[in-house]
Amino acid sequence: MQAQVRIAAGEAQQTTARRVRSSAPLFCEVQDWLFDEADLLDSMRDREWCDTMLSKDIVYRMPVREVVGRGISAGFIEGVYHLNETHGTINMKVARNETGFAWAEDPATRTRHFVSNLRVFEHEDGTLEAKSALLLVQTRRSDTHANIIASERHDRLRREGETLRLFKRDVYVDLTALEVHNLAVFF
Amino acid sequence: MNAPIQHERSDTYVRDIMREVDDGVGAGWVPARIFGNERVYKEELRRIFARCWLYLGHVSEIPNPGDFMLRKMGEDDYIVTRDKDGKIHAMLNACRHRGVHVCRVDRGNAEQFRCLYHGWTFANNGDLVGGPLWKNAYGDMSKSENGLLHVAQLDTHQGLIFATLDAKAPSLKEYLGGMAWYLDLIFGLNEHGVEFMGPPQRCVIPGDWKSAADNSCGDDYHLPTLHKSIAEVNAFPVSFVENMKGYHIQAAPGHSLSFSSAMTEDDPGPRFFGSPQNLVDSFNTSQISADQLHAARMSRVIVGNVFPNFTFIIVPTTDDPNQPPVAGISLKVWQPKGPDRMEIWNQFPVYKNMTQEQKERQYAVTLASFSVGGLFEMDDSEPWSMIHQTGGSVSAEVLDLKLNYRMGLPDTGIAQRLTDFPGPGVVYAPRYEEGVQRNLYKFYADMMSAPLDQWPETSFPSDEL
Ligand code: FES
Ligand SMILES: [Fe+2]
Repeated sequence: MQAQVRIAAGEAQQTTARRVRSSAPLFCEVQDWLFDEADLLDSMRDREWCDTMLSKDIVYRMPVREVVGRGISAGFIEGVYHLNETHGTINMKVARNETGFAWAEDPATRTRHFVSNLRVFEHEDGTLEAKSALLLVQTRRSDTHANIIASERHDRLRREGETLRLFKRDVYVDLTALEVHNLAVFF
Repeated sequence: MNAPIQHERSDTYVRDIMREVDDGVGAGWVPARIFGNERVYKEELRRIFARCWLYLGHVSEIPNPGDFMLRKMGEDDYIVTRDKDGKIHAMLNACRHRGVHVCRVDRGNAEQFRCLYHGWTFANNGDLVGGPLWKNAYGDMSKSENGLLHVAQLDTHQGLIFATLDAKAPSLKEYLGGMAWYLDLIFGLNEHGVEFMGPPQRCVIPGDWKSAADNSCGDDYHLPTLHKSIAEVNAFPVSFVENMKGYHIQAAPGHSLSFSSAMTEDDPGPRFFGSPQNLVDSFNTSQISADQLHAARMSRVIVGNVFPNFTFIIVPTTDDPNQPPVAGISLKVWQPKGPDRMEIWNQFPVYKNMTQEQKERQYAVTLASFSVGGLFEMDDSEPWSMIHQTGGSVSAEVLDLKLNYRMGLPDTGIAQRLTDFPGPGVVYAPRYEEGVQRNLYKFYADMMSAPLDQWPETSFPSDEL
């Protein structure tokens, strides 16, 4: 079988990146960016999100997780994904939602992206790394039961012109089997 | 002591529903009550999932002695291992002492499984090896009678591992029947075979497992409506009318597929499902017949379901309209998880002799189309999330809601039976046809109705009224 190497969420931290404290203006800028992003995603403005917040070379992934013994790893597997997206595929999903026939999201599910536990790092090349906890709460039609997906996001942002854009996102989910209707929404 | 509880088994409620299925399905009527029905579901676990051959995984997932993986048979966990002699076993994940799970991780390599409760230890072939202070505790008590419980039968076809809990079930070869011929068109194309891009993607979605199996038998008719958005964004290059060309095949009792291929050498379109040339060059008759190799060469698309819940899909597809399509292969198990929920296990095979780059490209493209976050599959789960609600409703029972599976019956639509098709089974063309699903429900009703100690007598093909 391919791709046996297991990786742990957080292992990428062994970089030379400099921690940006929460008192710094740069931290606030990243936090504002994440909150603005959550707002776009939660108010069905995914076209605006795709066009104004994502870098053209974005790598957007959600690795598959499995149950492994304590001390081995967090159970994520290099190269095995629930989602492995590029700007092209994300754009296709956004375009799909605009067709009027994207039944998975029409009527749209209601999402709430709760972003917390933010830590910001600055790399030597000036790019930023943001690690945050994401609680995605999703409801649909008249269901009262919500799907709740907890995850840790590792984001990489860089300045393109005036604005920060996301060029890498890894979503490390807590669950090994996701309870979802589909994975049509963005994390 | 009370007599063992047998009333569920002799309950006429489920039996009556199954008689209704059996009586109606030939004419294209299936009572909605089989979906989302708690009592029917309980019987399915016992009568179908504890008797039919179920797909567990692929030999390449446990290549080395000691490798193991946890898999499901119905709702229950089985440890699938390769022992020190290379033999594959599947054993109930339950300690013989108190029933505690002896394996608590998804996969790995281990010579032994040690129960965490009192420490009974089992070899990876299931044998009880011993436990702490064994002599004091048990003296000469037999170990051989206290090993892990094995499945009744285990066998492989082209590296695909199947098992059944029923010692009276026919052999895997007999069970697959004509379906093996079609599985070979994907898995038997060269001597290298396939390997998987990692362990399964697992997602729990609302829906009755039968809705997914039903769709996978060949529900081509849903494409222009449910998947309309995909055509709108140019991710599905074939017109929907064109896409209805092809064949519907009842390969054996319960097993159906939908198949699209070029009819003549001059027909345009992909060969070998759009496989890359260097891979095609390696395809040969080492595992399959010349007829099969020819059929594979002409093939464009296959989607099929091995009864009850193992689906295979091979489709030329792309994740980007500017990039050429590649043959995306996806395997799915629709694990039952209640009358209203199923757990999807998605796996992505690639041919071992592809380049690493080709493997990764094929994986990315298949993930983008036929995974829970893929463009196709994300919409499929939407109707499936409603059928069980209708089926389980009081209204479905009171108003006697029967669902319409009549497409392609002699008086209904243009599909015609073909007799000169090179492969086995009952073949109809074009794909305006629901005999593939009637075949599923006919065998379903047979399995649900047959006495537990007796494999059902099946009449095949099911449409001969
Ligand atoms: S339950 Fe396993 S040793 Fe007691
Ligand atoms: Fe579909």
